[in-house]
Amino acid sequence: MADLISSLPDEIICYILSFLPSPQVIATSVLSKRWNFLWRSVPSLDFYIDNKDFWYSSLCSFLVSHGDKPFYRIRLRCYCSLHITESMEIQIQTALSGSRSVQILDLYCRWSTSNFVIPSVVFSFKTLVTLKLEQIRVECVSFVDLPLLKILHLKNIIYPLKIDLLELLSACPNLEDLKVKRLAFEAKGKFNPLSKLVRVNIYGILLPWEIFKDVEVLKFELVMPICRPILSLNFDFHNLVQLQLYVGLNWLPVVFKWLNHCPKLQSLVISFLKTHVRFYNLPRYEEEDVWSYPETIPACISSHLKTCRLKHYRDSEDEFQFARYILENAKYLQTMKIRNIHYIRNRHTRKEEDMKRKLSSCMERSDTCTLLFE
Amino acid sequence: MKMMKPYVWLQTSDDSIQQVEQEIAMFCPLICQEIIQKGMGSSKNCAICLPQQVSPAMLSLILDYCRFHQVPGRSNKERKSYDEKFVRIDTERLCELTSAADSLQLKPLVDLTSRALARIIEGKTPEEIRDIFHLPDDLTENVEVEEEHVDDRSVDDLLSFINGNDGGKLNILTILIFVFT
Repeated sequence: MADLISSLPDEIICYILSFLPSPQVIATSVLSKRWNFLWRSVPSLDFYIDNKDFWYSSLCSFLVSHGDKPFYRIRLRCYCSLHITESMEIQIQTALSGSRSVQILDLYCRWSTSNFVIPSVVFSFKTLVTLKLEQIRVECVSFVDLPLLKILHLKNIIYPLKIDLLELLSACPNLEDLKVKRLAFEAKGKFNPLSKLVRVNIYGILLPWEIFKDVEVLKFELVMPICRPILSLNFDFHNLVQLQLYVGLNWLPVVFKWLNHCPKLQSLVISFLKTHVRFYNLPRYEEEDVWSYPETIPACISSHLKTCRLKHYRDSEDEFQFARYILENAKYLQTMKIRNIHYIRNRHTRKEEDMKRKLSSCMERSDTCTLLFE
Repeated sequence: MKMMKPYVWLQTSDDSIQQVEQEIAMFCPLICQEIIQKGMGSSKNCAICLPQQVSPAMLSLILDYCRFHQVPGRSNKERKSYDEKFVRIDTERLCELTSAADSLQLKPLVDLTSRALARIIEGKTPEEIRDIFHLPDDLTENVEVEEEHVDDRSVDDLLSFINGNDGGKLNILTILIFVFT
């Protein structure tokens, strides 16, 4: 039978191989004479390093053999401590700077033993569609232009990256998916609304709410109301269907303010602070500061909410009342998931039984909803 | 009076000629160039001669693909699920299709079929790949596969370096991260 792939030009074979992890691409060199050198022209660098001794030499030789040909995809995820030699650093930096038409750039490395720095020029690569950087140093960025960027994930970026986050976002007009976590960014400048933004996941950074006006999925991993005590909005999140909040003490007023501004919300996740963090440097709860449930039920609860999930639930009075409120008022609720805080699960079997019984008794009027304990 | 839909004449690799809706055929950049730049395809006598890679069967598949994507107003989800089903064909036809789409410069289809082929290869050993594509093993045993190791430091060197340097800095980093949160 004829060789099926022989009719394809080298360029297409390399393109097919560019979707595969580099070690496998290198392995194709033993297939036949034609394939012997093909792997060197594959425009993709894709290493998932979990064993330093094994992959290190492979990565080195890949970079050397590839020469200065540009990459379309660069994915380097390193899950073990890896020492990068100076010559290797230079090679990676050259590969990055030279790949001006790169579409996917995804770097995660615990290069704590190295001073490896990402050249700032990557922030002006006009073809970039996906940019994911984690645990990495980035050279001081002065100019950003990412017209095609759809996915931006920045986590634990180590200095000296210094740029106003709002300025950075304004330079990504087509952004759809934003994830920022543990960054010491400033966010004071002007911003343009990101009209294409769909998913946002923010951890520990404050940005003007207006940026997220049109999103569908919103996950805030910052403790409310401590980090953002006042929620004053003059608009609704009219597209929002999924919301996840991370809350501390006095959380009920904040949650209800959110619910009143999310008329179409279908899925709500509330994550309570775990105990050991709860007592750390937080304002004291004041007994007289009593809050009562609003007279009108927020529109999303009465007509849209389908799933509700409470994480790190410890069965306090306010938590239980909230769960009951949802169970009784959300007519279209399909699932209520409760995830206990660990100590209830591990040591207090009776307490857990009580909690389950209490919550189940709120369910009696509903036959369409399932109560799940995780 | 109702306007007649314009057609274009195409000649495939087996020399057969067929009439195709121009709107759909124009989806292929190569056909589009022939029509606009050379004024070809307007009659049976000046049919556009398609590249050798395009057999009648492949042309019909490609036109199906173009016909679906040419309709405006389809959602991304619809397009995605159509594409997924479209490439569920045997490997031999998938290779032929890639080659035909490439010769017509139909980039979105090349992209789709290339990804499908990559999924077939992914995780397979060279031996399995040879089987899938009927690749003859023409590398004689005397020819040695190139030595790939460039780094000449020993594993012990590496280990001692890493063990000696690591922990402290990581801890500082963790503390910093906690402060930021």
